[in-house]
Amino acid sequence: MRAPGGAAALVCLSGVLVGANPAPAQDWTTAGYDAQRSSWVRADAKISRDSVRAPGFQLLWKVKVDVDSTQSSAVTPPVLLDLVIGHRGFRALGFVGAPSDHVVAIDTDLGRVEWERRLAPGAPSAGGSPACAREITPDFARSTNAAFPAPPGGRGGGRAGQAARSAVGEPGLGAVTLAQLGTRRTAAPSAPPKTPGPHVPPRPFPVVYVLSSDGMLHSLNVMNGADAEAPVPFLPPQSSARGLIVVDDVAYVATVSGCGDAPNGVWALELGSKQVATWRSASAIAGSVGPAIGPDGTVYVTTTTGELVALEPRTLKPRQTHRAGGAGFTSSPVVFEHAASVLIAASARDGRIHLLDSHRLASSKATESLNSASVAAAAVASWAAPDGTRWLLVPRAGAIVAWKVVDHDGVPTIQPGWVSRDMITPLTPIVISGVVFTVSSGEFRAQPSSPAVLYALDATTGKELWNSGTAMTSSARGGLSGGGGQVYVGTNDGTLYAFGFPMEH
Amino acid sequence: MTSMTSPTCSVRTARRSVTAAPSVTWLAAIVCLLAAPAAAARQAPATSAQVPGAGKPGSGAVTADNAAGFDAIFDGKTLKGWDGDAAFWRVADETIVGETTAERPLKANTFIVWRGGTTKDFELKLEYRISTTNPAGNSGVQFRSSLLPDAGRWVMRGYQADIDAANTYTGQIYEERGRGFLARPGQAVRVAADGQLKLLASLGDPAVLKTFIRNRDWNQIHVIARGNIIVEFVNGHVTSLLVDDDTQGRAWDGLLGLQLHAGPPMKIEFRNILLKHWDATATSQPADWLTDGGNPKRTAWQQEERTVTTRNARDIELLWKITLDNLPREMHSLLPALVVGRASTREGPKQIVVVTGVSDNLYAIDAERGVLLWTKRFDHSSVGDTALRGGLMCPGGITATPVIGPATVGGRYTIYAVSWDGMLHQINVADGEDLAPPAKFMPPNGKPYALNLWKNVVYTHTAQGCGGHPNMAYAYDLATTRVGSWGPAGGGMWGRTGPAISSKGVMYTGTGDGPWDPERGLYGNGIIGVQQNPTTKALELVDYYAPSNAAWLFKRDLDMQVTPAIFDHKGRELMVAGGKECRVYLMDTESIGGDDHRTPLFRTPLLCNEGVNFASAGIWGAMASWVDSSGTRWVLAPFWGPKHSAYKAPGEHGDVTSGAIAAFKVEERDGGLQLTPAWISRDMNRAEPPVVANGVVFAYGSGESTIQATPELGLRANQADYRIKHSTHAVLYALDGQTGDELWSSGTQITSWNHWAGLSVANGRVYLGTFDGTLYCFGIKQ
Repeated sequence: MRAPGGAAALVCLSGVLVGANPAPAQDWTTAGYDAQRSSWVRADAKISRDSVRAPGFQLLWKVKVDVDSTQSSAVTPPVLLDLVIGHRGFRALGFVGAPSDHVVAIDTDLGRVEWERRLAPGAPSAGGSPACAREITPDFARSTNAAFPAPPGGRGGGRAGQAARSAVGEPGLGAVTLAQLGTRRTAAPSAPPKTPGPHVPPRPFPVVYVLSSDGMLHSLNVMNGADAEAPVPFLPPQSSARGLIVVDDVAYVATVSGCGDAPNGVWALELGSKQVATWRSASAIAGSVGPAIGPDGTVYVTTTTGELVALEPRTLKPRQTHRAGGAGFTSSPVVFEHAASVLIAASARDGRIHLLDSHRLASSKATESLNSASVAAAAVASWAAPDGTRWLLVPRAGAIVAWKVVDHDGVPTIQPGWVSRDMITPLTPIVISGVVFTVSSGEFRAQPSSPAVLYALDATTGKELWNSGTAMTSSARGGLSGGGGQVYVGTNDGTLYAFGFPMEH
Repeated sequence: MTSMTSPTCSVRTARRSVTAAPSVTWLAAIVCLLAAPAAAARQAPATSAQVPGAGKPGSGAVTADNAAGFDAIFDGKTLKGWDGDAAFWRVADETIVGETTAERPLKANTFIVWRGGTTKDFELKLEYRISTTNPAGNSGVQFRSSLLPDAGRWVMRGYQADIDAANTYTGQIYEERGRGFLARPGQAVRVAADGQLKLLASLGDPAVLKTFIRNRDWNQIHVIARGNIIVEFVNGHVTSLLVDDDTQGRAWDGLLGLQLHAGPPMKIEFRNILLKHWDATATSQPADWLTDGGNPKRTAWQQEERTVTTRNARDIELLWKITLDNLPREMHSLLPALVVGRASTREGPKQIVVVTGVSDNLYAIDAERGVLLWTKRFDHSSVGDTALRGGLMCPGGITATPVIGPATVGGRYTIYAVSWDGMLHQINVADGEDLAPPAKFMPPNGKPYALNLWKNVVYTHTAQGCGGHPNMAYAYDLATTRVGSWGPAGGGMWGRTGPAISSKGVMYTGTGDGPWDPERGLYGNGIIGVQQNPTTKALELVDYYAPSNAAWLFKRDLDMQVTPAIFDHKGRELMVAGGKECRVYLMDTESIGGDDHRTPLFRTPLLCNEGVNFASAGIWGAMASWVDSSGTRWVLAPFWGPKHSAYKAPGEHGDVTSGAIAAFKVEERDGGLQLTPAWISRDMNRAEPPVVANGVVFAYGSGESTIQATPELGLRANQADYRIKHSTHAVLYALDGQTGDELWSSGTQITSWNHWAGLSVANGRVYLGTFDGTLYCFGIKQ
């Protein structure tokens, strides 16, 4: 049994205090991985270009999570918790949402359902279009940090210790460890970082947040799915919510009108005071992963009429607005560092990618780049190579297109990088340790769908390293997530697939 | 002609000695008593009149005399109760006949085995006649023997009263397929602990003894076995005597059989086979339990037990209990007891029980009366802050069961103990006084586990990083006062009964809480073997093994945290270990993991822990191993939690939800060794490491709450006050070692529970301490 104070305890403690100790950067905590929606897992102990290229990366397990899933309401890619020490043991968990308020926690090592429940059992079923049914599939989030995740510092972390060695003490003086006693210092545990906002008593167990169709925000005990506290009213019932995220004790989510009574806009719930703030948009919120959070806590959101708006944290008061005009945005924004600036990128309906300086949003002249085919990219992935090159990855109709962010006369701009092999309506990719994972969703607009295929591409060249072949038997819509050496895809028939390197159990 | 060594060896003196003196002096007395007729015989050749119950010479009608208390184990008509190759054995003329012919030869010795019981402490009389024209004709009578199924269906190994046509060997004590010649005709021999034969005395000129044997006629063999002393008579004359102090080679119990030897045609006949079992308690040498786990190899097998048996275990009762003034620390209270069977004290010889209390206390208790003899409290003022700050896993105080060094001078025993401040103490068992100044050993306030003593070196290992110290294996060399060490080793080595030590002095233990990466010097979640460098006294890594799923074990905190058990098996020294994953591993100490250090001899499927939990499930504590009278090697593993739904054993005793003992036989199959499931015990509330004595498995459920997390409290549940509140009480069980049947249970007699305690057994008594500071002594009232 590990002694208290070890790394395992630290990982556990990081989820204990509500909002005060956010999840480590290596966990997939929300749609788009982190507060900035980068979809970039900085480091992984197992996944690399070389390891994925070599034999071994394979389907690990698949679980039929939900029998009610349809093409219009697939299971969500799991939000991950790499390590929790619970009453059933050490666990790596993935939290998946499925139609009709069905939430499932899966042991991601074994592909076993750890627990499941139906939230809001008395809530009326979604009325109207399949789009509404899809939109109200439960959205999970774990508390995360507004700061940019730490850059990669090597292959994974882990709890490697000091090498064992042989020794002998002097006669009569005991063991060498006794002789070394005076020079050893016991590390004192560091104090947890200060939490802005009202104090919330710490819980003894981590929680995961999820929205139910009745608009309530649930805080679920990750070990058994029980409500850690009473659900809190957040949204109107039957809202189409996107991109639930919890940063600094505040939960944020975007809504699109047309399902339930929620207007277009962004919502903020202070977890301590239970106060809800709203920013209403005149037009629909663009993108699939909801608002992005900058390192200073600013909330960024795009609309279908071409606005990119910066909102104050918590209060959601507008700070700045960039009006792109033209065809309007299709994707959620992604926030990233480049040189000494914090930039924002979003994809527009005409195929352009807009690149903006977060500090001069209102007066920015967006750098655009023409993406030759029309595209309705719902999100943009962003990663930085070890040499500092910043990449943007955008799905278009039949491929993934990669762009480099470069400086031209001191102004950041975009230049083409590579275009992937052909795919069928690819989903927004994710990047893990220099490998791009993307799914050919199999969804045709005008034809019957075909099974999804997961691809692994070299992130700097786009070259295909591996694909899942016929492992998946249904199309996919929900997206990907990954971490801990594994990549997850939820398909439209309610199955969650896990790919990675097998470990003997 | 060799004279007797006993100084006053008249019959009258011998008779007085026999009536007055037990045990050791009994040996001298029996030698005297039995030497008298032999001495008389030196003057004249034996006549039939001198053979008890004999008729005229050559008449063949030798009748058994002094048959009181004997059972006839051959009915004279059939081979009922006997098991042998019908091609060579038959009944004729009220005799058991074994015969080979030119047409039907034997390529290897064969035996006919008596299946009506075993021979432990006994007296056997039978008559034989060996008829052959071949002087090489040979036979014998096996006792305390075992079968060797790998060598053949009726092949035996063990003590033999030898018979041969030339009467060169007749009357000697031989060991078939073992140590060979032990006591030849005319010899009284001691087999020393290292296997060397020492001549004690001459019992007569072999040439003279030979004259007492009738060629091609009936002769009587008479064998008396008491403990480690065996005497053989032929036709009323003592021909050999054996004192077997070879603890590795001797046997206390085993089968009876008759031999038909391979070679040229021969015929052997047996009749009037009479057997009397004898109660061994009257003159047995008291047994010891000097170290946690029973012996340095940690088999937890009390080989010297002769009081408790499977037949009388139901009569076990509470003999006494004593509550000591030790204060618990966190969940630690009393450590496992140690027993000195006979220590010389100022008040005379006493059987002493030594118990350690976590708050730096040692107690000595009179085992007969259950009264305190002395208390020793170590000075821990140098420890400084003694408040409970380390949490449940780091209680402070004494955490290592001491070890007792065997007698050196006149029944003196030394307790070696590591106190709270990390000092090594040497204390006289008789009175608790220091035999040497305390010596620096390891850092204070750590968490060492049970000490082991081997060839004047004290071994232990530490865990949980208590006191802020790295987790190490330690070896204190008593001769040089140098302390060798090896480590650190992840989260530590925390086998309950400390390290196990092989016959070559390699210390083995399981490791946990760390990655397995030998190339980087990381040995977490495996088994390591370290050995003291004889010159430098450093501890050096000599072998290691990790299961192929070690990465998984580390990820799920399924430590290999069980003390292994080491044992001999058909010429190999093997080891068994386990861990929280709930498998048992069988290894060869020659190379515990094979060439790749990842391949044991055998690995069982999961016995339990289907839910893959790090607490309240898996194998915890220590393994056990013993050999039964048929020569079968057994392995026992205690586990917590429900049995795995896929694991089955031929003998099961109800649903297991909280824990049980799993028993295996070591067997050969397909050219390799395996652990064959034999039985699973009844359900126990957290089954703890068992001990074995005389075919009885003693096990207990600790009643401890082993919860480390709850949905509501998370890891905050892993606090002493919470777990103490949810603990109940311990229950001690006696099980039949062959079947797992429950023979007896303590029921509700034990009112408290325990944590990190253990069983000790010696001289018909079983000891167990509980959290409230009470030491219980159960046993057979004598």
